[in-house]
Amino acid sequence: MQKIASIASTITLALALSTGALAADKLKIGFVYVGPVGDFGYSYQHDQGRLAMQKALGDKVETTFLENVPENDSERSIEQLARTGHKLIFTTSFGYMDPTLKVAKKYPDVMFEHATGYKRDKNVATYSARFHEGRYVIGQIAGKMTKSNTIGYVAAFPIPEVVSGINSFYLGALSTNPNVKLKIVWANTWFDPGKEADAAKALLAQGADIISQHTDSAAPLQEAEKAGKLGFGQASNMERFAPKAQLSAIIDDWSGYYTARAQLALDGKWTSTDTWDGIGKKMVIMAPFKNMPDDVKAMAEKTTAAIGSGALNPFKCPVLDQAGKDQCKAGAAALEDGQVLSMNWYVKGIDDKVPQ
Amino acid sequence: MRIDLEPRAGRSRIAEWVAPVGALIAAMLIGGLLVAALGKSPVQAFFVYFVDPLTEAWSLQELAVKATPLVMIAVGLSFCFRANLWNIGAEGQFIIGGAMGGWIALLTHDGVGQSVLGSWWIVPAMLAFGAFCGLLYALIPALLRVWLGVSEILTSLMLVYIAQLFLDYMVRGPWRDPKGFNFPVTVNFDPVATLPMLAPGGRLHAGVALALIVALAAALVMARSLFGYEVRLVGSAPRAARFAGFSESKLTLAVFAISGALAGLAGICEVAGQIGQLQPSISPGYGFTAIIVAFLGRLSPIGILVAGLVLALTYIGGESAQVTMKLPFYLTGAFQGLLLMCVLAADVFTRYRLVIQTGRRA
Amino acid sequence: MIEAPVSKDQAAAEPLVRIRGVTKRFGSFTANDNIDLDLFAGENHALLGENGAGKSTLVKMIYGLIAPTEGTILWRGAAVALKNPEEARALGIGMVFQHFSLFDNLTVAENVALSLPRTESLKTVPDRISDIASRYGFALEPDRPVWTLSAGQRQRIEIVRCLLQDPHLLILDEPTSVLTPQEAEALFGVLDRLRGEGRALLYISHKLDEVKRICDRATVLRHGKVVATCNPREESARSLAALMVGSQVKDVKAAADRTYGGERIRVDGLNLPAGDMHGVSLQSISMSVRGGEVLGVAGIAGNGQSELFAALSGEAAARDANAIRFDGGAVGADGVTQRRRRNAAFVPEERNGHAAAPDFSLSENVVLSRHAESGVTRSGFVDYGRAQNLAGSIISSYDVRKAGPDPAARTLSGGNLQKFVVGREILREPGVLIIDQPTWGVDAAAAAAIRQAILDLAARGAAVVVISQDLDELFEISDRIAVIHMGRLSEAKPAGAVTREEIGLLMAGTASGDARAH
Repeated sequence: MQKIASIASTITLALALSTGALAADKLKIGFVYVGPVGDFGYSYQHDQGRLAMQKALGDKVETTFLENVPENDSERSIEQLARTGHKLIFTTSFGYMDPTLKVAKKYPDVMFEHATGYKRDKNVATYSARFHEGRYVIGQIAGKMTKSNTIGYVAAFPIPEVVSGINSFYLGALSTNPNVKLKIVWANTWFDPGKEADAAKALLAQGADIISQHTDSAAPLQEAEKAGKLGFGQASNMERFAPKAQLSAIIDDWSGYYTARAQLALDGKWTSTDTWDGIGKKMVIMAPFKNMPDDVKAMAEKTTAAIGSGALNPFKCPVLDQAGKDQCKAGAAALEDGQVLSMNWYVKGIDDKVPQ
Repeated sequence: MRIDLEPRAGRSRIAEWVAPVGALIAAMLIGGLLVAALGKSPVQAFFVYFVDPLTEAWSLQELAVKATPLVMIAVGLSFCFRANLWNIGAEGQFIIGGAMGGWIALLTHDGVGQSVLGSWWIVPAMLAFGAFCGLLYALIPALLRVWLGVSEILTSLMLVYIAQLFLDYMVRGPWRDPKGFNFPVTVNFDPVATLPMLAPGGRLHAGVALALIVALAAALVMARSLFGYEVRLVGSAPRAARFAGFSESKLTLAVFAISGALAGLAGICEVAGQIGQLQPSISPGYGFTAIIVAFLGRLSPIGILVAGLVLALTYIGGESAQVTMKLPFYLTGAFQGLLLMCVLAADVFTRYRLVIQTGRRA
Repeated sequence: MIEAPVSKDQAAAEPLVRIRGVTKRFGSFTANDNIDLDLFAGENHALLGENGAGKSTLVKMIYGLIAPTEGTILWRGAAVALKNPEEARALGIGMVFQHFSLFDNLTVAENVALSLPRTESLKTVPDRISDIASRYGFALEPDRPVWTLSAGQRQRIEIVRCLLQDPHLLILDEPTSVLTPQEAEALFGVLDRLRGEGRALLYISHKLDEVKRICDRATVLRHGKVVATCNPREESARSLAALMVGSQVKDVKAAADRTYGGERIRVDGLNLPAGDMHGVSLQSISMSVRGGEVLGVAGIAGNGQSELFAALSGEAAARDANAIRFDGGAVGADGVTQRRRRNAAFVPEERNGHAAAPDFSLSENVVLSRHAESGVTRSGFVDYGRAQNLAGSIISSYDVRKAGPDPAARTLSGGNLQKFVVGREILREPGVLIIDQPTWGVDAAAAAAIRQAILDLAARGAAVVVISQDLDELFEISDRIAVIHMGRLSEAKPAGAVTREEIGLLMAGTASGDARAH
């Protein structure tokens, strides 16, 4: 009897030690993705960031990810990570905002990082990227490269991130081509190659010779390639899907941020912060400028550098809305971050309405 | 040689219940081979998938929460399917129920309208209104079928998209949280507009108890009431049902009303118990998954209760396997497909006997 | 076992088909048990037996539809293993099924062409049909669409289909069940010619008079075994029936003196449009049945019998409530349940799926027609205990044979399920009973029991309408007989004062008055 008890306790001890040893040595870090890692777009880039962080910090961290987690049933998945010893958890989609906060309340010792949201807590930080900076650059390229003066734009959902992207893109295009026209199609999906391709086809049929996109699959770009037209990659470098059509791509690069935040957690210096970085901090990277003349390339490189140094702000004042009213606060040099983060209006010149 | 399926003379009740269990075991064995092929331990996977979630209070609770919408919808669908009517649009009825029930929470946000009656009525009103709107939404395909002979399969399915776009529109527009930076979500529901929790601190909301009551009540109605008899008879022998004096039109409306109301109730329970606000999408496809649950449960309410829990187990076990064993997400989907295939195969073998004939007779 | 009377010629000849020790099992059920059977060229061989005796199973094995579990089938002395009907047809075996497989919207020639190999040209088909029709002396227009044809003409299409393949053996499954007496006569002529050409015929029937008239030998099956092979001409109908059933069949006895009460069923100028394009519309149907009286409705299948039953039962309600009256109350616009509440009972033609739900247990099937009764349901819930008691009394009163305490309806044989269904209605002691094809496909013993139950009910004062295609049956139990043809009902005549020929002419649509006038 005693023997059995001792064996049992030995096993229990061994188990406790083995898991305990892991927990003591390594910081367990969890990631929750909205799409499949294999989307080669949004979730793929987050996973690239995870892998880069893993490589940079090596044995000090152990990472886990859950993919394809639906936003409306995510609370359990996030808690699953929190209760299995993950001390730093990145929830990488807007819809995880309230579930993340709910779980964070239950696990005050766990550090949470929520992407693209606006609600924070003492153990919930937020982070996002100034994607619109990249859109200004590709807008300028599009303005230069279009022959029909018509540019197509496949958009996902009318949320501020997408609307500010459209505005920034259009302002960029207007700065290089005063005659440019923008045609927008709402695909109402982040990731649906079929719907995205249909939207691109419709735009091409309406005379667009450049396709820009704010949806996650390579389908719109591939449609441009098939039609012998031009386009831009989204979230990731999609050159391999459309070597002749891709002019550039806005790459979300989370590796620096993830590595830095994990290092802070390891050092015990993590605090809840709100991060919104762009080209300057290399959270947004422009893919190599290709399929364009040298002068356009030089211009694009110059603009990128200017935005990175802070010399150029896409939303420099005045910024006129469709009614012609200046949306800038009195005396401001550019729109405030809060205004960009809640943008639901188009700038003057866009011949369309924001869906309400 | 030829392979034939010969009908079995009699079907035993025991076989009908043993078959799904056998199917589950077969699916586990094949799943184990897949895990082994991925270079992981099938034994550990078995424990992570099926044993651990059943031995911890937290995961048991999550199991019940995840199974709740599936069971409620599937119980309703079983009435339709038993009567050979194909309501494929439970997803839409779920969304409408969640949206319209949630609307009451938005109307009463911050104490509005509570000066006279207080707040006790809000949750019951949300549940009732959600169920009622799901019912009305389900009556559209039922009436189109009864009046015009339109296939309910197509209309109920197409109404799903209308419901999704309706909720999407409302959440982006009229119902949007004014302080939400234009993001498409409503305000968080007040505590008085949220389902009470059955256990403090957890996520076990009152909807779980409702699902249990719904399943038990449906089992009683199906087995003992004249209405349940009518449903089964219309599905089993429609001409005999006409001879019995039952009206197919009335029954069509009744079963669609029941399944719509239960889907709507499931929707509002999910919104008021789990999500706590309205979003552009409130369902990861529960209305469609429930169709599988209904058939796995052999269209019997108690069977559905079990099937709902089994399917919820595969979701939660699948997540555990992703976290602790780094097994791929797609294994969960593959296993669910495998399970359905095995159940269907088992079904065939309870009805038919496999006969392999060789050239011996010649 | 009775000795097989084989003629000297046959004894010398090699049989066309020789079946030796053939057994067919479905699970634990043995449908055919060690069957021996010889078929010779130039003979018309009857296969007799009750429902469920194994006739269909045996024939399906000969035609290649199913394979025997044990035993051999020899064709001209060589063992054959037929995988499918195509192989059987290639050998020279043809079969005419009881239920036709014809496309109503296609012409005769197109239907025939469908069964021919693809290499045949459609152009030559009409000529070949005309050839065969003239050789055997029957009329068949190749270009007529099938839906315009009578049952007898449709059957000829099936026969032509077989004859185009020049079969050595022709199997006919209950071929006269859908024919008028006159059409049946024409068929017998064709069969005689076929036999004269040296073809073998295997003739499945339960009509013993027919078999006695046209068949040379008869093999009787009982419970899957061959119990006798005999010359039917030397047997009486009664002795053949005894062989089939295994015991003496009771005669149905009507009460010596029938006394009639007041009018219980009255139908006045009932019109009902057809439900679909192949249905029959009822036109100004009138009838009157008194208490204690049995009215027989004769007719060839498809002349409005189902529609008449639906109109009387309430499955298809009439527009005019007064068109139908039960015990004086206008019920024309009522549904089935309301009419049952007026103490009317109904037995439709089809047992499985109409009178009873095949997958439901017997006690559940009691609820089917009796849920409106107090006691069976209470405040919306079914009292299955009460239903079980009722099922038990039906089973014991009507000697329903079944396996297990409360089995599914489909596990019962046709005769037993029919007894159950009839018992379910008669045990209610209805004042009005409408019954369609009461003994269709039912073995002789069960048929006798059912007919007796109907007569006994009438004797207790009920009014009964029996719709049947079996003239023998109608003459046996009816007080008066009317004929339905193309949706119109003739005037009812006393059964004792009308001949089979008169009824036959009415069934074929020829006014009996004209026929009698000559």
